[in-house]
Amino acid sequence: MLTIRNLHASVEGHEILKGIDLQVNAGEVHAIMGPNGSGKSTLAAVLAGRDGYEVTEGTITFEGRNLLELAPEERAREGIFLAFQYPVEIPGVNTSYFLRTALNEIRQHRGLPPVGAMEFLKLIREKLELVQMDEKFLKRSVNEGFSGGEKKRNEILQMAVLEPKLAILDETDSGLDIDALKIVANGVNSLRRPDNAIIVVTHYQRLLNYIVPDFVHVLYDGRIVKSGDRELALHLEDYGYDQIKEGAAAV
Amino acid sequence: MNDKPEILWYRPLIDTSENGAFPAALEARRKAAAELFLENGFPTLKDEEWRFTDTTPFRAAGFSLAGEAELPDLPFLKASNELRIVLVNGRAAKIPAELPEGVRLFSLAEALRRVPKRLEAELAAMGDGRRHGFAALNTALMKDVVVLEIADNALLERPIELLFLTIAEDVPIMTLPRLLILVGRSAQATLIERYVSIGRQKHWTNSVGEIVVGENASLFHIRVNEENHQSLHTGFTAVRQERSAVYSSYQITLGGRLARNDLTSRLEGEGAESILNGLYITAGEQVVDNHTLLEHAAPHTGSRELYKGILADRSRAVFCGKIYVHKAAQKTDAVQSNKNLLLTDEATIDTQPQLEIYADDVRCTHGGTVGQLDADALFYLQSRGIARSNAKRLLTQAFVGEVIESMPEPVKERFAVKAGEVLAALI
Repeated sequence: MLTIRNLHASVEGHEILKGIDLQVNAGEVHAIMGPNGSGKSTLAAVLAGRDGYEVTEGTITFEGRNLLELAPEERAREGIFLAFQYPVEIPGVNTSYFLRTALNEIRQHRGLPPVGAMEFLKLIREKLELVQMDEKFLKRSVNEGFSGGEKKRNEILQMAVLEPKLAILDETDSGLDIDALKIVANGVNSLRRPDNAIIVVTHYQRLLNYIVPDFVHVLYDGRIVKSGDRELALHLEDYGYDQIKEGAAAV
Repeated sequence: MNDKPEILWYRPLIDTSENGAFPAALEARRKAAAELFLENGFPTLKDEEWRFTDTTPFRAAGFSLAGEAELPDLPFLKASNELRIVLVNGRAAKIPAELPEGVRLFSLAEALRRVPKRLEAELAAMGDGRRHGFAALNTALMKDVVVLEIADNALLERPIELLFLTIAEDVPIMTLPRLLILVGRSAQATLIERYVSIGRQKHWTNSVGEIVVGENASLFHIRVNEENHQSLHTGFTAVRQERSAVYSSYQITLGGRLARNDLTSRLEGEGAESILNGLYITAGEQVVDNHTLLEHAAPHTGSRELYKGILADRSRAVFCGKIYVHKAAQKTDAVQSNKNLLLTDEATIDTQPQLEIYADDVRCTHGGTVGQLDADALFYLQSRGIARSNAKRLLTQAFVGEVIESMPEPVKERFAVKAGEVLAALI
């Protein structure tokens, strides 16, 4: 589904990603872990196509297409979804209208008819239940005045509505209490299917107790320095990133 | 003798404009305005109130006073369900067969006969030539005055629209619309004052509106400029509010090449409140200049002012909001805000709040913002599959939504759609 080869990326002339290789197949859940500043969020931003991130070397192929050629909205329509670490507040844009617009632009791209207001309401009610959000959120402006937990749940709600092939969760767990974390994790788990994939970017092992990954990669100084299964995450929990840092320094 | 071109040009018109029907007091006001104009002409960049807007286009050529014209045969004018009074070149051309109970509409001649005392007290009392040379010219030449009276306790559910159509001609013409709105005690009404050009040629609308909002009355006043992109517009609106009167204004400028709006509201009665909203969406070489003056003259008066603008291309806007608090106006509560969104690097805005406060127990705040579209918000919307152009449309509509949102229900949808169309065209 997703193939990243020798990816180098810079922000304002500073190289952050220094050669990433990653293969993600349908049905898999990958966790990318690493200390602050290792490049986790940069990787997520490059995948979603954010401005200001310059890819200087390497390739990203998604379902056979060169992802780097696509505008952010084209990537979304092809099935990539980024759950933001810091979801943006958009005053004056109604949540329900925003989500229906997004869904219909994606449907149009896939040759499907647009969803009407009533049909959408039915659909969204189901999805709201998934993340235990009240219907009143739909009437509010996107993320405006939402608590941290509400914002993160809103990200998962959007993921549930847009049904991406590849979802990238950028530190979706940061700042969540255990109850909110469980809601978010349950939401994500219920969206797992054999034909989609999830990349969980996180600083903490805790989330991985609830969203169990097939693969764990440790990102350090812009490179994946170690890959393994779930055991690797548990090991990191016990020993921290210091061993990894020392190992990387020795190389 | 002053030889400014506009004085030379319009002097003959003024010299022949004496109105024998006017009672002495009105004729004296008209003459005073004429003298002011013949003395000073139009303001220039040297005048403090005009330092951001060059008035050269008004004197670059003489404008002929618009003549009578037929009501054009336009499909949208045929709709009969609207409560719409159509004026062509400043003169009433189509009046609904039946006006709602409590509404009376007079021409100047009728008003002189039917409500002479009211006319003598109010006409050209506030909206005279002292504001600037444009209002002076209108007042000196005043002839086609629309007088709209809303009776005490009248509650009008349907908005009344005054549609000013100008039939543009190859020779640039000037129209001089003049309105006197008298809202009676405890009455409630919504008034749309709308300016539209027929044709693409350059013309100039030079209007004066005077509005009295009576005790405990409430008036929503939507003044909208949809004139063509060659046209010039100077509009002066002077409002006076009696005790506990509420005046809600929407000054919406979508059209025109150069538009200058002056709005002054005098809160004379205790507990009166002015809510001034403004919206300007500009593109190309458009220039829109909004000057407002809120005069708090009585205790416990309040004002809320929110002017918002979206500027594209090389367009320019000016916002100058003055709040003047008289010594007697204790407990004044005034909040002013001007927010601007610049869509290009070439668009410019000059924004200037002015506070003059002579009372010591008041709350007056003001703020202004100038910014671009939020890049993070744009990316967020795009990352959900929304095309960049649609994302921009959503964000600009959200920006103007804050102004539209507070409009009265029967007109809200209409102006949201209109603003949406104008925005879609410039993104």
